Amino acid sequence: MPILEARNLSLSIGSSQILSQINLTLEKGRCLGIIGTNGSGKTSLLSLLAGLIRPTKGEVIFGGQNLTNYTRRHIAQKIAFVEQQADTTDLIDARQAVDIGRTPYKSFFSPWTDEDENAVISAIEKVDMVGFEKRRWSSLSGGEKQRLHIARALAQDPDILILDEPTNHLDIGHQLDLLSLINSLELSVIVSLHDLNHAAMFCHQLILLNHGKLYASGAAQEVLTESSIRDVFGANAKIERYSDGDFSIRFIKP
Amino acid sequence: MINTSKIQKILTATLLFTFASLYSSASFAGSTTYPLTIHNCNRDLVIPEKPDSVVTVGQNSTEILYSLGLADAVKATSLWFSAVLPAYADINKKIKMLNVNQPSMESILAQRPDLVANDLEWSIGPTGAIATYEQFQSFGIPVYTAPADCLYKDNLQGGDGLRTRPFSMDMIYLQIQQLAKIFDIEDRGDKLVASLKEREEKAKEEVRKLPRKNLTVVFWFSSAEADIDPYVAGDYGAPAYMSKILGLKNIVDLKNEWPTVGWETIVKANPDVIVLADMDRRRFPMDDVKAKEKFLKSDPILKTMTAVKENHLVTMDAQAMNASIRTINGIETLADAISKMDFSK
Amino acid sequence: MKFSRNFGLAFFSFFVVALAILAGAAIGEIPIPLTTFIKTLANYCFGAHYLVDTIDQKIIWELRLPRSIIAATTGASLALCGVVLQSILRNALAEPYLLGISSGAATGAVLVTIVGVGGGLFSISSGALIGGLLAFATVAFISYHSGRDNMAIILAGIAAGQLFTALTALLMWIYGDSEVRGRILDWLLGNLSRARWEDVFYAIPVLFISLIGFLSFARILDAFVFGARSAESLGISLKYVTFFLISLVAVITAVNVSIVGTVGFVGLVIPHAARFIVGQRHTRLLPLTAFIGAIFMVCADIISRILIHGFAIPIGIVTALIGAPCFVFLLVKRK
Repeated sequence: MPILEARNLSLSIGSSQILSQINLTLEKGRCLGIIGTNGSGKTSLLSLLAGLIRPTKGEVIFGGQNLTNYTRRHIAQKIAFVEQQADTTDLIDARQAVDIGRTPYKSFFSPWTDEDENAVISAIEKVDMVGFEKRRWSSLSGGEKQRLHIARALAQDPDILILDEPTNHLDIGHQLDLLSLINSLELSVIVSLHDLNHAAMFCHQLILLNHGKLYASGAAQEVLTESSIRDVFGANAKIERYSDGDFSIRFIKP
Repeated sequence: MINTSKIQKILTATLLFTFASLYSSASFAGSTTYPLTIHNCNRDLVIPEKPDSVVTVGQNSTEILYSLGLADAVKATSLWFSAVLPAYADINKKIKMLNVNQPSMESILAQRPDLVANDLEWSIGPTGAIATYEQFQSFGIPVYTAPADCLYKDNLQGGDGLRTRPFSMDMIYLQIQQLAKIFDIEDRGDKLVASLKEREEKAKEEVRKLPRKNLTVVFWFSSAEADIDPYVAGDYGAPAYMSKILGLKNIVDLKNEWPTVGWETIVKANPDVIVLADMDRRRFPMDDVKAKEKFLKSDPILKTMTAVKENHLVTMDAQAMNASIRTINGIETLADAISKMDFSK
Repeated sequence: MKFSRNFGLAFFSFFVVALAILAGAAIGEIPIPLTTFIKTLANYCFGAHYLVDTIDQKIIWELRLPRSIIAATTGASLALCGVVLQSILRNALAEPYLLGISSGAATGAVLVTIVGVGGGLFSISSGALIGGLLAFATVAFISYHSGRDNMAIILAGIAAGQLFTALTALLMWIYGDSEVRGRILDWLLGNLSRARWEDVFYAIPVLFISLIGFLSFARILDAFVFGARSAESLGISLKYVTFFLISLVAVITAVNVSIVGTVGFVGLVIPHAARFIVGQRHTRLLPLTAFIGAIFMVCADIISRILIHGFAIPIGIVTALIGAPCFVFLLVKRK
């Protein structure tokens, strides 16, 4: 039984059709990668899957029910969303950025419990940011901030983690670190990536979007072929396979 | 036999008594009994006893009290629009001014007055900016407001409503007489009113003598900028009253006090006389009466007006154009100036 | 133990505010001796029978004390509104009058006084209140139909502000003259001298409602730190929360304008000062903002009455005079 499922998902805003007829499933504990060109509807798809916007047609099924049947608060306790460019100029510290991950569990005057405290501490541990709690947000690097965003998502104690291009603006070392971190968490993950090699490395299943439509879905080697890459991205590539099952995509100069 | 000496004594005593009472009532010059109830601005105002310290809020009330010879009773003044009438300049110097604008309630109370003489309900009134009548009453201080501000205005909460009937000097006369009664000097009040009425009559006479009848007039107060629409006197304020009793016709018949009217309309109406307000204030460049004259005489269209060509321009104290005791001065200024003009052309 | 510490802090700050209010009642344009002041308090609060000049006593109790209390409540309310708006709209320059309220209040005041709408049933204060709320309704309407995001709200506020300012100018032009405009603008400038006990009796509940109301949203306000989208993903019903909080801000601001007129800078600067001291956690930021706002206004009120001997400067002018350099100081310190 998949933990999250999209059935015939379509989204149109005004006269533009952003997404049409998207079907996908996310298995428990697995990582699903969303790839496609800019403007192919990745962010919109993720927002739909996180229950932040409603589809024009179709549905997202979670826990056997349509996501629209859940309250926003309930969804936030189950699904955590890390958006692309979240930043702030407010004078907060690192700890605060993670604390607000407990918002879905707090109501008006509920005090800060041990459970909250533990969730935050363990989240910070998991992203390997212990010791950074009192650091000013503005003094942190891009990579550090991104880890804290993930820590906040983890503090939500979700079943599903959805990330929108989390490796943007990070250098290669940090990109790989972050993706390994995501892999190491025992959560079901949906992540959108722009680097095809990374997608192949870290995701069990991939969805390839092309102008809002589902071009291909399945395991990495099924989705990423020389013809699909040429069709969707307009780039010439050569797929190189290795003995251990891994493969890499080598792009050819135009 | 009749005891003539006894009758003489009784007669003399009676006569003496009669003379004495006649004399005494004449010298008390008034018959105000306290507590005095006066109907003022939609309330019954109770004056417990003859006041001997009054604070004024408004130039008109102040100048009326001075004209009634009550300067000794004025502890402090406030809310001035221009310099005091020259006749009272010396007296006024000795009297404390709380604020040239609206004073605070605390500063009024600090003077411990037993009466407040108020010009505008905007200052003290149902929703007065300083306080309400009730609030002063809670301190035991009655407030007398100029009838001109409430009698002929819409009964609005807020105190700055439209006039529904035109101003007339009768309102000032009423104020003088009521204040005189409050201070138990009704005689003096009547005398003052009589002298003012006499001046009105004299002014009317002067204009009556002119060969031309039904002269048209416009009163120019000021303009926010030189060539935009000027503030002119409408049909309800003091200038309208001046025109009416002098037999002149105000070309502006809008039922406002100071509406803005386009120069075109004024040129079309081609008034026989233009009255220019003279004031100390310089908020706008056109406040200056000389600037007004210069503008009229230099503007290519305005200088074609008969009044400008023939120099039938009257300079009048701006204060006289307010509904106050100074309106009399305005009437005299206007009559005087017009009677010297030649309207044969 | 945290609870008792918070309680102790709350009690201490209330005590300090009360002290400031009493100072405000003791000091004024007319010097009244401290002994008179103490005796007056004894008479009214403890039923003592000291012989005190009636007028002095009434000045202290009927004029100065309510005035000082209103200064505190207005300062606290406006500062709270400012901090909430800044957090929700993610804009450091947001302040309560952004929602078009002061322009609407001017229109309402003019409609009631000069034009005579309501036929004498409404006072200038009620006119200002209704006008302010109408302006806010306009802002809500415009922003609802133009995206409902923060930019929409801010721009709608500016648009409504302009609209109502133009309306006021039009009404003045038709019905009034330059003298009258001056008086209306003076009324709106921010004047505490009208404050009386009747005003206190609804200013204090309004303050408490705002304190409790906003405090209960403290954690939710924290969640706005990374923007509206992020707040939504943390489980916040953006529409309801935004609408509720902004409406509450509008009502509190409108009530304050109707009592005191427009008092600038408090809603803009005090939140920043408070943030500078305790940072962004709203459970601490909100109460501190209210506290600083109250003290600031009481001090500004005292200054407004003693700066020039015998004259009371409108409070709006004093807050601007103090607020502007404070704002510059905060800007510089930001580095």
